[in-house]
Amino acid sequence: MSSEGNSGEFLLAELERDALTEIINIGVSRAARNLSQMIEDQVHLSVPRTEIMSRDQAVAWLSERESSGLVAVGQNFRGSFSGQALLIFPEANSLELVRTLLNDTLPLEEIVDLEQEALAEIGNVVLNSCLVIMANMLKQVLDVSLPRVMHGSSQVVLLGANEIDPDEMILFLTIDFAVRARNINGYIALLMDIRSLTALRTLISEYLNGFEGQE
Amino acid sequence: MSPPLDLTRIGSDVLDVLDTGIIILDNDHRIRVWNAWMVRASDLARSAVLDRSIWEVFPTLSDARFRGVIDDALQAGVSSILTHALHAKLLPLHQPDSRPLLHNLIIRPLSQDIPHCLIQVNDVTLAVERERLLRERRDAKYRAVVDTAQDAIVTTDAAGTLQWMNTAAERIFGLSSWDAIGQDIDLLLSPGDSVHWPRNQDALALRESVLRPIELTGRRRNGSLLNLELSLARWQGEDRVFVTGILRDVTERRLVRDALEQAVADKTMLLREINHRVKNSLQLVSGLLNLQRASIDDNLAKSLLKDASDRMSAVARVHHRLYLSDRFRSLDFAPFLQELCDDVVQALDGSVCDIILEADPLEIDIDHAAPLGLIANELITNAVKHRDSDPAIIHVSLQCASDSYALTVSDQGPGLPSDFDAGRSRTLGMRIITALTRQIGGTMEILPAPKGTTFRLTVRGSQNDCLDQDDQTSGAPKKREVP
Repeated sequence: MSSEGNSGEFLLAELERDALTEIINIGVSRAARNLSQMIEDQVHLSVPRTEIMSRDQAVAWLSERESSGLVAVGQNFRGSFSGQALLIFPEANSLELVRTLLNDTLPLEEIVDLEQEALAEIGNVVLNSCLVIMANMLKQVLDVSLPRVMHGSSQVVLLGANEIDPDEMILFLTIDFAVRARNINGYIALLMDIRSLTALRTLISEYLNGFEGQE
Repeated sequence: MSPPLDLTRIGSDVLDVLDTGIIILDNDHRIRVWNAWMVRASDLARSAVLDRSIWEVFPTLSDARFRGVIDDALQAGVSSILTHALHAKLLPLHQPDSRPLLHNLIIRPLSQDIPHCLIQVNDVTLAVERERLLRERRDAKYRAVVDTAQDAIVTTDAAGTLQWMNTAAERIFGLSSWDAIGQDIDLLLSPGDSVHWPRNQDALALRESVLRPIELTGRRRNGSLLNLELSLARWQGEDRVFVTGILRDVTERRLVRDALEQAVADKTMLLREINHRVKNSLQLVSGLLNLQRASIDDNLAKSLLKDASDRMSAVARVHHRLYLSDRFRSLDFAPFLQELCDDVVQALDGSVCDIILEADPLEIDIDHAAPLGLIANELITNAVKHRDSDPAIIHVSLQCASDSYALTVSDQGPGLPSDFDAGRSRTLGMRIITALTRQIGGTMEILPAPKGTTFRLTVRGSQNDCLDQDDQTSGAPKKREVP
């Protein structure tokens, strides 16, 4: 377990965090299936790591890794746990991803024109899949908004225009896209306040207990 | 006061006046609402679609993605978008003039007791067209410059990832932008080169002002190398830093330059060789005279042959010094004098005679080198010859001023007769001195001294240089005969 996670450790035990990583992995593999169908080629998505940290820590963590500008697709979710889900890419990777997913015969200029919309939809596919799987597995109903695309530094995409809630925590997941022999790295961030996180924790432990009960 | 608006009664009117397509599906995917915009864009009347499953109306839509999105909205309450960017074909819609209608779909759940979902169809044909037109207009001007340029122009981000390249770059490196963009700039550069593309901190440190072009080696797609001259500039777009380089193929120019350098090197070698051979020949002649001297008994003839041999040696020494230096149009005179003095002292064979030499560094024109060398030889050997008694001290100095130089030789011998006139002297030594002094445009003086004789040769307005410069400032070589 990495040191960045220390402050959030009390919020999510290792087992619970593993369960959440697992749930999100199921979500992204559903997204990969959707994307594969859309582009008629294999898309592999995996989420190898989950970190939990405060917003400020997340801003620092992200700007340490990505010096260039970022692109993020964001969706809000509301239910027994509420917050914001983000799919984040370094700007250079985002064009690369859209290029790889789009038809190879298109000239680059046209891809640039299509980049924003395509990104919004890719983000929508990935985030919806994660949120739907989370809701299904935890037996909840979530109201999920439409995606919006943001550009800027880690500060801008993570803090956004929202009121800054110092209690808000971020579940940070790195995500690897493997498409047409290319590997493109990005991040998934789930922003939730303590109340939602506590609710999520309860749901995850219920889910884990349900597992034990079956055995 | 008018009665409150009854939305349930005018709802369908509202949907029909909207400038966007509205479809509402029930839990069984049956079409429940199909607004007027949809009727116009699809040519399907309400009666033809209402209460039918959307998959029945549009069999081609039935791909898993579309179904999944509808299920997400109905079952999980999740909103989705389907864009024309990622889906070549969504609904078979057309514009009034029957051209295809580009559209995005937004699928949202309608929160009701019985789940329904709303599909909103947004016409983006105009926006897409406008974007394309704007791009073309914006690009037209710079394309005229950039894509017709003969030099390769490439842009990378601060990390060195290729972002863009022009058609000349595609031609020079033999690959398409499509293959190159997104790859590292090292794709275009030779891995063995010591010059690197600026990255990260180096890229940020680049000044925006014009930088001096640098030379580096590039690599074509087929692996062949080419010489490039690179001019770099850094610029900033939004909050990202980019580096643009203009790469000129200088392979041809480099070949010509290498050939020229080789030709110059060959010439230098040849000139050195010639000086070496001239020196050897003169020394051979000088040696022959010495041999002849040994074979005769007449002392006067012996002494004359020695003088002739020494004069040959003095000229040979000039060529030796030229051979040793890399310059062929001027001679560093101070080391020449040093050698001459050393040789004269050595030839005295044990006599006690000191020559004190003080010489400023002086580059003299090659045309003056042999005459001045001979004059110095005559003055110094004269001084040695006419020294009064051992131990004798002879002073030799070479002084250099901005537009003249002076060679002074003084001895402490008995001095010259009071009626001595250098111009009228019949001795060969003095005649040589007088003639050569005139040849190099100098003046010879005999300075008053309490004891002995002091000769001073001054040469003014010469192109000789006190400083250790190269000889490029001297004019075309003038042909002069040494008498």
